[in-house]
Amino acid sequence: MTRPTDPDTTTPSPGAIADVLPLGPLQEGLLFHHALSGGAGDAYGIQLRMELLGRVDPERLRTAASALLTRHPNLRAGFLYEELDRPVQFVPAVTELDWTHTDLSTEEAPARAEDGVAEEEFGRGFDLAAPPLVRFHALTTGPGRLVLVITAHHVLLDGWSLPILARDLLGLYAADGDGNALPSAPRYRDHLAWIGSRDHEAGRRAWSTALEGLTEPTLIAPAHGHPTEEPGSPAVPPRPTRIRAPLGADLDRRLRSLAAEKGVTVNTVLQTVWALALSTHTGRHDVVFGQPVSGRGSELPGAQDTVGLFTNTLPVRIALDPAESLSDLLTRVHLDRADLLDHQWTGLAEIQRATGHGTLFDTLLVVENYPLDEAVTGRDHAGVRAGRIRVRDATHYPVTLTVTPGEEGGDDTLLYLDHRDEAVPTTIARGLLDLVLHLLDQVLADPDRPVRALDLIAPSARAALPGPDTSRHTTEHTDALAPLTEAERAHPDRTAVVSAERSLTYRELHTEAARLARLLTEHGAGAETVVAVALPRGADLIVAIVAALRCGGTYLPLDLDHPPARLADMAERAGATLVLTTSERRGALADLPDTVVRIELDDPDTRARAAALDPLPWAAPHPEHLAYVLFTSGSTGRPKGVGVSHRAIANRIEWTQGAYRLTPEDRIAHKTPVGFDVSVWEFLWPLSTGSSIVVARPDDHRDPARLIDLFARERVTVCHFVPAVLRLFVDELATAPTGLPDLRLLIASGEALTLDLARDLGAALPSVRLENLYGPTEAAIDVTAHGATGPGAPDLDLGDPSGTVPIGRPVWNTTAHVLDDSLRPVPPEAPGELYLGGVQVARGYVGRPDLTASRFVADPYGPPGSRLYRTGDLVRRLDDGSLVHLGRSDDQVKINGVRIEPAETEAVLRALTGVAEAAVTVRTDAAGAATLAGYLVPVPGTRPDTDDLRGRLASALPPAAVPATLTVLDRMPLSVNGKVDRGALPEPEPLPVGGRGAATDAERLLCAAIADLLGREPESVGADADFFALGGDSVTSIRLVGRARASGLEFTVRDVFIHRTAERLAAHAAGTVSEPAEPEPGPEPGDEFAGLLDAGEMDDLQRLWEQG
Amino acid sequence: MTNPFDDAEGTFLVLVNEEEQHSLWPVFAHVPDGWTPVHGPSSRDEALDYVNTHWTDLRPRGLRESLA
Repeated sequence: MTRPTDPDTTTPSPGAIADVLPLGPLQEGLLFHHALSGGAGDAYGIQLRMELLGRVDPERLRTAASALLTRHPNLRAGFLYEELDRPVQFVPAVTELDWTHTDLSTEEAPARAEDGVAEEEFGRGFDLAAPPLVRFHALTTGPGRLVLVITAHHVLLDGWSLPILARDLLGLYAADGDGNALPSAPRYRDHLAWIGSRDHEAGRRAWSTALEGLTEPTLIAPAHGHPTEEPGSPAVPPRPTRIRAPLGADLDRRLRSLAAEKGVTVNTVLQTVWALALSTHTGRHDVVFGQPVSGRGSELPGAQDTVGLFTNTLPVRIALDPAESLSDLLTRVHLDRADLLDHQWTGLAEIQRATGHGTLFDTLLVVENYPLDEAVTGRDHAGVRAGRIRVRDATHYPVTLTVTPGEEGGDDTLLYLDHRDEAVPTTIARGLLDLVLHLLDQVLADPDRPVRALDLIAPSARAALPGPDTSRHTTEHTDALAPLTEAERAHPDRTAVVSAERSLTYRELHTEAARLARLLTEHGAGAETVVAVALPRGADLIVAIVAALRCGGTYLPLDLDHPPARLADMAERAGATLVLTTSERRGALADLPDTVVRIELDDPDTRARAAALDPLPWAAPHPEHLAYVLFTSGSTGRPKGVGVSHRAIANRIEWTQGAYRLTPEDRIAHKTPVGFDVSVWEFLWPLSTGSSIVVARPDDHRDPARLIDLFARERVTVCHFVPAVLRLFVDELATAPTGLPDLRLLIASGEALTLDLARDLGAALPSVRLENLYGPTEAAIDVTAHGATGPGAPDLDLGDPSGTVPIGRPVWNTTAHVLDDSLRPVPPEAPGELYLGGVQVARGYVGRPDLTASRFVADPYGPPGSRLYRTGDLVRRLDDGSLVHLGRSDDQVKINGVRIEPAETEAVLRALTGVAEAAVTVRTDAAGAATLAGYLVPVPGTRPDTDDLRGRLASALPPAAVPATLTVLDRMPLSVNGKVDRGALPEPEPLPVGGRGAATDAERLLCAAIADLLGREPESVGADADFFALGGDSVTSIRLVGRARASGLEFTVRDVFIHRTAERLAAHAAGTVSEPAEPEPGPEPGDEFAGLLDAGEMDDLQRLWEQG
Repeated sequence: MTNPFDDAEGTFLVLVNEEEQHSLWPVFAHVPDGWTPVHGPSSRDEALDYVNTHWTDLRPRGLRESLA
């Protein structure tokens, strides 16, 4: 074919392509989304709905519309990327007008019918390869009124084009379709040429500077635990839902006057407020969102009169400093923006590539100012004048805030929030919109206050937050002994303990414990003295704990799985004066100071002495006396002992009984190691209610088959599980020889309970109630609860994208605050740190006033003088008041349900002889399980034996805190501020270098194409290397598809996102191999875009278009 | 988000309530009802040193007095 040199004057032949153009910056992005959605049915549209009043002739209007497509050739454009080296837009010489005329004047409700048509047109998709991508639908609604609905794919034109389109259409109507009657139209291709001539390097530099230091994108959808679109989950974005709120005349006036007073634009104020709202909903201070700019700068003559897609979506980055005044923030935002004014044509994809970021944001702020009405209204066009004009614009972002400024003295300024329901549900969107108005009101009221003084709770959100009495409940007891006393009296002959070696009735248990308690008092035990208990799981352990409590003392459980040095440290720091143990365990206690009196329960002398003593009556402890001290991992290298008062644990036990009601018929498994606080209620709850404790043998708590056997044999009704073990238990149930008809209640806590696990349990044991509990040792075991499955449980939101069962609402007399880092309550659905108040808050860390004062802190929201425990757990509160656990604000992890501070392991590793420097990080495997990875730099000149080091770590740390791997480094990678750069630590296991080489022709072809597209050495791209991990992105994925198709390998952009490696893409394409097109040399000389396609590609394009 | 109580560069008060319990407190936030500043503003380390020196018995005052 012959390449036309002047597309506007050459006489076209039907089916001929008149022009081929590159894509503008935003067009590239839109084409990517189109390709991602699988091509067809892409409804990323823009719609103009124009009311025409007067005697409108539909046929004449049709002629005018046809002339409009002749006048603006780019309205006829189609788009192709398949089989081409890079995507192009092509302009057919002629396209048929997509025109429909419908008479609605006889409809009963013409207004509703009109809305219906507009809606239907907006929802109909476009195939970008099949122009025209603009449709006209004329609706006659009555005499003297016609509504013209123009719907175009956004890739053709932007909102600023619409007034030009409307003006030209009316002009052409007046001229009866004679294009020569209008002044000649500026060409969109000139704009594309201008873009191509810009200094792209300067643009990239400016944006690199603007985004320097940004560590993370601002994504509202994952902040809410909802899935996003990029990368990896190529779903067709459904239509967004729109909610709206009027700004109101008062806010509107104050907004304009504040902007004027501070010398900034209204847009600057809106940007700042949107950044504040995003910061609240993502929990980040450094936020980015997108904002479309018109792209119609004064540099290009005629841009203001050209139809086309000029608009560009650019990142707006605002780093918030909580201490900065709002006024200063507004000024800073204004100046930052000014620095980028000369670089507004740089495409988003180019910015992302230049700054090394992938997706930067998933929200948009749109401040509309199309000068629609001025352009067309008021004037007469051959007896027709324009009436009301409405614009509708689509978005593929999860959230778009659109502000439509009102006229001075006219309509209200309106805020619209478009949101994709599946990513950001309407409740959250409504909360966001309310927050924007609430923040704006405060910014305008007092712009001199600091950022952190803003209140984040809109009036509509207040109801979801806890009040002072939300969880108030009058309890019967304020110490843990009173209910034990009552049960002893009420149920003397019931079984209290069932264990492998012996069983005890309540009378037997308490008689034995009371004599032992007397013995303890002879050694000085009593209120606020600490009695250590170092016994294996069994009846003696329970007797010992009851004895320690009975004399009014504080019990300290010592888990015999821990190394002797650690047990000694715990006993010493808790101030233990006595330890109850057996002769077999002397070795484990060898490191305890000699001053700690050992009482060995198997010693015949001890037995004889105790048997001769009178039983000790129950002590009557003060509610603030400590009931127990329990050690947890501490970040300073030593564990910290939490002292829990009687009042706290009594509340916890009484709430549990109120919620789950044990009867004397119940049989509760005790299988939790004593160092873990769940064991506390495994003893105290059943012994408070006349129920029986069924003791699992010491090693059985991780063996699901033996647990099932025990449960069946001993008719266990209630049991606790850490979710990881519950998973093994549920899996084992499938093949278990016996059913568990007696089991009625399972309590899960210690780590996240997944929805999958809850569902599987519900299927395996439908009559069993599964409860999800949450709480730190510092607040008496559990502070929130949520029914997961079984009778009485609420329906689980199986679609909840967090994938976990909520941790629920606070227990009795417990308050849960979700606060940000300025200690402000955050609104529902926003992430924050969980702070706990109420009676269950522990006294503190024994012997550590400093740690206590920094974790148990003054409560700004509770009764005067009260304290909060700050958990370090990140949560969000749902609208119904229940909490969802999101993770940790620090490095603490749960390994098999045990709380571990990597910093503790790190401190211990660093202190070992031969180790100069140490770092410990958390690794999460594909199944989501956490392990610790240790790194060390040896003392110069030494070569440490890692097995020996691991042995020494195991002698100082509990098993879960010993790193799974130890990697020896020559030196630690350091960040600029001199700290260990944890992100730069190597993988603990060596990775295969360079990946697997390409083995087939298809793999070789794809590896070479990937290497070329990403600017890498061909041999550096393995067949199993992940395209996106290598730096691939949306735009390069389109080009990869084009390259592959040209070589006969058939796959889609969607496939690239799914399969990701050359190996898998080649395998996927294997069924669809076709003959590659013969390459033909020689681009033809022509205009500035002549090099865009080679001759072969030009022929392909022509063929594809004609086939289409 | 760094927790304000863990900010090593932050400026802190030490507060005390009627039970003579101590609390670290970031200077930017209002002092809650029922608490009185007894130290600061100072660095975090200084504030914690103050706590270790002056809060030697973690038992609440009400408990201590009930035993006396």
